[in-house]
Amino acid sequence: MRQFLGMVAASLKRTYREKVALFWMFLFPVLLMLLLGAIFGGTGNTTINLGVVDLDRSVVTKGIVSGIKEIDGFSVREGTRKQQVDRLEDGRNNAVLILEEGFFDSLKQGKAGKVTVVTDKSSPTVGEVANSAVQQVIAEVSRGIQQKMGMATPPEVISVTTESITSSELGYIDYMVPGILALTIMQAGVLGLGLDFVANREKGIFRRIKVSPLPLSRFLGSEILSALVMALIQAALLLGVGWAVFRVHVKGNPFYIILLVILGALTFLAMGFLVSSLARTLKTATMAANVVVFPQMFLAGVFFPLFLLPSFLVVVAKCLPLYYFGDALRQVMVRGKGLNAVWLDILVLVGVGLVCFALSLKYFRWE
Amino acid sequence: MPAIVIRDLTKHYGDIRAVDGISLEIADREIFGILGPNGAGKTTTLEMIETLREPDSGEILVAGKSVGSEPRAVKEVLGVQLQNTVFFDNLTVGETIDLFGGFYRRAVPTDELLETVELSEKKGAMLDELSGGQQKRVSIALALVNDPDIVFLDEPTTGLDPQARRNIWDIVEKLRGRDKTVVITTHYIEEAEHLCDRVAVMDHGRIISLGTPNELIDANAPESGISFRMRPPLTEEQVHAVTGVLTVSVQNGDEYHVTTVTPQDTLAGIFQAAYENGAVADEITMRRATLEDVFLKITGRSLRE
Repeated sequence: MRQFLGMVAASLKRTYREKVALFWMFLFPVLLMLLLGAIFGGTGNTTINLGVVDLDRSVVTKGIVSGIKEIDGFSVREGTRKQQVDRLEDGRNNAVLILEEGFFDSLKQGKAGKVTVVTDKSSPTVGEVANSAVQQVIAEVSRGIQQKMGMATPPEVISVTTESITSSELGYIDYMVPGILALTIMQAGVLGLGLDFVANREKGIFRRIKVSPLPLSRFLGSEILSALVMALIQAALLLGVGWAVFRVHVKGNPFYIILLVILGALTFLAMGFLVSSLARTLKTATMAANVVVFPQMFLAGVFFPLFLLPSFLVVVAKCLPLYYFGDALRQVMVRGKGLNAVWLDILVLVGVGLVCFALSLKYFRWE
Repeated sequence: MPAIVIRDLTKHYGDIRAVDGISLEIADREIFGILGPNGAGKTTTLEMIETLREPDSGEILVAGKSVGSEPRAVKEVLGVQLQNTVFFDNLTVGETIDLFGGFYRRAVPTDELLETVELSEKKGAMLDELSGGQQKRVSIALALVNDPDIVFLDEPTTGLDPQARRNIWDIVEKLRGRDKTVVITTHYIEEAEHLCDRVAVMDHGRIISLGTPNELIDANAPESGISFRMRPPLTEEQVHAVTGVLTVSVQNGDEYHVTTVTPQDTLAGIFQAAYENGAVADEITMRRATLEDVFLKITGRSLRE
């Protein structure tokens, strides 16, 4: 055990003394994060994004919806209750208006129509503005319709139930920081140990280890452990700077976050090993590793939310393992969700990791 | 018990017979040299003993243990310096030795090893700051890190200047004093003659001659050469008549080169002939045959080709 830790320590020392690697592993992601945060981090939102869910689908409710759409300052989007509430959680809606089933019937019976307004507890002012604006619009629209149809005006046109959820205080920073973390760990995994492995194989160091009684797998194990230590340091650094500078939200269970970081690091280490097993020389390995890294860097939605991308790119993104790693980190770290909420992400990462590992064993060579 | 026993060892690479049926015993505490030109099969043979390559057929025992069935036990008693000196980047000399020491069950203290290879003052230096000779010495220190019974040095002085080569020889002499068996491959004649108790000459994957350097010379190239000048000159017949002379060649009218297997008698004969003819013999040099001549004699080729 002491020997094993000695090997890990030696490996960490080697990385620590490789100044170029240190730049890419630590300084570059931090700079990238600061840059993106400075450019896109502003939260200034002049329009209120309102999600509308029409469950009644009557003449009146349709009239209300088109009436709301005409108001300046509202950006209206229709959809199902789940869709719109999810968007509220994501911070893409500021409030959700739900016109409940039986709205028109109630009016016809002279009673108040039922409406639910879901707002975001964590940004009460925006929610409040949305809430009152919505109520005013509904009242006006439905009163007009009632008069037009010659119905008696009830004292209260609508009865409003207000619900609220938390979590939509999240901004661009909260999207981007977990993405940068995922990206950084992927790069360290695919470009770091895998290429180091090819370089050492090319130099013939493994032959020297092979004439000693140490099983090469134990040596590799020490290298992997040191890579995991590096990944956790990267995570701590990025989250630390992200919190200090941008107050990124880190409310997930730290244990889950560590677990996900380790899982992601292992997945991408396996990917790096696959590259190093398939490539014969350091040159081809470097090229192949970049082919793995670059599309994911730009297409997996680590810098910007996927809904900003054209739909065919969304399909592409969902084919890339980095998308799932970024999503898992975001859900657990920023939203404070449990591991069960990201089961699909975890499944994809474990699956990709195992496939890469199995293939790299198949094509593996020491020299 | 012999340190190493090899029986009928073969290794092919495609159609090339890199090692072609070698049988060999290396005694305990012997310094054994394998001499041959590049591509003779020296390194392949060594790598099969070191467990780096699987033989096609044949058996290898190291300290009585089979390399094929007990590789780990064999590796514990072997110390290996590979032909190409490679190290991890970004580690100092001391850290590198510590790291490799961790690969074995027993390890010699790093400071002691550095003293053996005379690099104590370089303990904190990065490996790429060292000269080629110093790097070779570090790789010898790594070969000794587990206090092995048997040490393999694969061309330890190739590419080094004469002074650095001398340093390595001194280290090998130290190992002799520590009761280690040492196996050295080389294509330097002087190295084999200077260091080795016994030498196997290899060519085309076979051992073509085996014995102490003197035995090999006596058996294959027993003639010594004597060169001298005689004034006034003698005739070629007169020189040929000198005791023990086998061949005579004359240059510039008065410079002679003769070969003989009895150099002492022939030298006396040359002075006798000079005295009898009223001539003066000077610029006398004598050269005993070397392993180079042995190799040339057996294969018809020079070692360095």
